[in-house]
Amino acid sequence: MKIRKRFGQELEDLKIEVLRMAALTERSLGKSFRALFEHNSDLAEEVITEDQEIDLLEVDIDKRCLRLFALEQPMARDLRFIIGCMRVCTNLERIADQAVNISERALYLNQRPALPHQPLMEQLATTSMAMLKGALSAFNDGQTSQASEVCQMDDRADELNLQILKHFIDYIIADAKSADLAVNTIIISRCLERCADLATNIAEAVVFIVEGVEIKHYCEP
Amino acid sequence: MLRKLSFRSRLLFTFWGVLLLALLLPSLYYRQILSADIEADTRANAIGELNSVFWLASREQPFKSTASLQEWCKALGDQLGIRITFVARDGKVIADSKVAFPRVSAMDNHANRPEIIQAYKKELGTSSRYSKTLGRHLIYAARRIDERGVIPSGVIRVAVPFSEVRKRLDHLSKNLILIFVLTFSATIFLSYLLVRQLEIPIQRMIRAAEAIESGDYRERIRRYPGREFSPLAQAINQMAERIELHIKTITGQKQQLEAILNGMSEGVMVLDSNGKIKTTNRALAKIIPSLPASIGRRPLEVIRSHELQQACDQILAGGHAGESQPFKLEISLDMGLIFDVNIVQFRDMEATIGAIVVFHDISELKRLEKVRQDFVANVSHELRTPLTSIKGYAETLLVEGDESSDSNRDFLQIILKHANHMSNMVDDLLQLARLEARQKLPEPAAVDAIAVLNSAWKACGALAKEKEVRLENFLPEEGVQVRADSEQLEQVFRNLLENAMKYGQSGCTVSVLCDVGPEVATFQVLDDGPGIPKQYQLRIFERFFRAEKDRPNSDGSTGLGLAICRHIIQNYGGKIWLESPPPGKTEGSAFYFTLPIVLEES
Ligand SMILES: Nc1ncnc2c1ncn2[C@@H]1O[C@H](COP(=O)(O)OP(=O)(O)OP(=O)(O)O)[C@@H](O)[C@H]1O
Ligand SMILES: [Mg+2]
Repeated sequence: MKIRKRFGQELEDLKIEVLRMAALTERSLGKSFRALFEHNSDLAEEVITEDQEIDLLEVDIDKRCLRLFALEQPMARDLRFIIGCMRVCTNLERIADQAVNISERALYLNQRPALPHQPLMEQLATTSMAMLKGALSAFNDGQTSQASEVCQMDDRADELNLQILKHFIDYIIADAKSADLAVNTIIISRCLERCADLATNIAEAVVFIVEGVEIKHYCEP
Repeated sequence: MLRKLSFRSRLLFTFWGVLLLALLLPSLYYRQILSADIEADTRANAIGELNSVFWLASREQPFKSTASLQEWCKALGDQLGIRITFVARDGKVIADSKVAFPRVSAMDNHANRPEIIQAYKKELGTSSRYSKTLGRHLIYAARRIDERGVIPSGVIRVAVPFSEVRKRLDHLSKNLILIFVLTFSATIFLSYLLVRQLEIPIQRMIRAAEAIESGDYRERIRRYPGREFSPLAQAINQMAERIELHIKTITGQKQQLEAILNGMSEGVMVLDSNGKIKTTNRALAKIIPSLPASIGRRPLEVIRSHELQQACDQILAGGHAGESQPFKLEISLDMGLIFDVNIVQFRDMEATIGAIVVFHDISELKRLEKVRQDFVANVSHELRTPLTSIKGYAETLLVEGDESSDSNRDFLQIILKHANHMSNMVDDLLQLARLEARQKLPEPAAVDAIAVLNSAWKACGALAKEKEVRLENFLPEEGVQVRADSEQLEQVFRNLLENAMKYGQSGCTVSVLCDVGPEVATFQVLDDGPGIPKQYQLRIFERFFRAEKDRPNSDGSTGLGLAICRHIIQNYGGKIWLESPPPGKTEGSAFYFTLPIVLEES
């Protein structure tokens, strides 16, 4: 009984650690957006330095999960929870890496004359941020409805990414001198789209934890 | 054994025992005495009859035959209503009044009858016995008799039946048993009723006490079984009253607390010792929309800020030393929300640690602050260009306009002076804006404070010469290595030295001292000037604050110097303050500031 209770406590702590990592990742991504849209290189630098903390947290959570597997031999829901946590944190780490990529591009772009206002980019950023937030709160509350909403939003992200790509191909054709800006923006857009995909993965992991079914087939095109 | 039984059964059993004894003992006793009396009486009667028969027998003519003896016996026996028997020495019956003559010889030997044995021994013998011959309870009395005619020497015996009283007595004892049984059952019933009567109020009292126990504190015990119970009942009533009072106070306090909590504009969250949310107030629910489901969860599950979670964990682990002082931090959430969070540790009755987290929404404040900063920075920036041209043209006119009149030159001089003043002010403002905007500094390089002080002193050389001020440098000769930007540190020193010279009389001395601690160095700039009035001391570091607003010779000063100093020092994690007059002096002022020193290892 006592052992069981301690195990419950361990699971709770695991969740808190994942949420901690989630909070850091979310902030990192938010900062990289601001670095990009507000031309704030200081924030970009911060994102790059903070990434290490997130990497360390991922390693820590992995170790935690492995220890729980080895010591407690979890069953059913607990097992799914631990596996799900591992998936969530792998994806979080990748999102944090994308935030670093965006920041690096932003650092480059901030040195150059600013491009005209890019509503599509902003929309894509908002979408992927909303998806990450939705996936995380689905994880926090154990709610699948929110998770499937995230899955549906992914289409919108892909579509925006495509539009941006087309737009900037036109741009390069029109103004070959600032091709480097366009290419960097396309790369950022690709990063944003990746973030949306990774958020979808997190949402899928939540569905796996709660319902024990894999919905990768329904969600991914 | 009795103790296990209920109060009622105990009472009943004792009752019944007492009754049994009270009824049984006297009746048995009386019966005993009565039957003994009757027996003694009958015995005396029998002896009397015997003596009369003996006397009659000795007066009679000697009998010719046993048959005539038998005749006489029968006649006398019938007359007296008794049985008379003559028994020979050998125990053979010679005559018997109740037996027909032919059968007398067939009667069994009477030698071993107790009364006869006794008679031979002591002249007179009695006994009481059931006679088989007559089928009755009889008293026998026997007496020795000497040989006389046909009567051999032997014993004469009479048998007298027990009186009628004896029969009545037997009857009476039967009735007595009946009466006994009847009274006993009646009293049993009565005592049962009585005990029940006692029991009902006790039961009522118990029910009242139980009601109080189960939370109905308004219940009182009003009727109780007897005076003995009144202290108990009173004690229970008082207890209930006291509990009711306490509950009232506690609920009152709770409601008051809740009202206070919900009336607060700050969000409040109470954590238990496991770091889970125990209560929240209404304001917090407004701040954080997902709040209603927050009870029993951890802060991070509700507010996505890992700093907050970390701070809570740290406080609950007892990591924060000063228990009474709140732990402060600032968190920023989505949509530009910024909170000033105070966390206080508390211990409840069981000495477990909990924490109270108070959220103060400072987003608007921050926003206004940002607007102000931006405004100041923008205005200063915008003023710079026109000012530069004013200065430039004024200077050009002064240098080149030789044909202009003296008064024109004076005017130009004034324009230039004020334009310079203004451009200084704008520079200061811009610098302040820059200092404010930069929150985190890269780790500053090490500088030697002595070198910086020397160059600062050189920079104010003109003023020093004019006012004939001497500098006394008490800094340690081996130098003080501190972490700061040398240019900014020079500005701090210059501002403080300038102030000391500007506001002191000419010919005074300025001293600079330093006290190196384990982690920080404390610098002191000391002058013997007029000092700063107490009421201004707190405000002196505000921007544009000047003590001598109406003092005439204040031209050229903006009131920004100390504000800049404070910002610079704070950016390096130091403190700046003043004491006027300095400790142990009557006049002058001392400005202190701290800076982190360079540690040997690093
Ligand atoms: N050593 C001092 N003795 C007496 N008063 C002082 C001293 N230092 C500062 N003060 C008072 O503090 C006020 C603020 O000083 P601060 O250095 O901020 O501004 P300032 O000297 O007037 O202008 P600025 O330094 O920008 O040219 C001064 O106006 C003065 O009244
Ligand atoms: Mg000054």
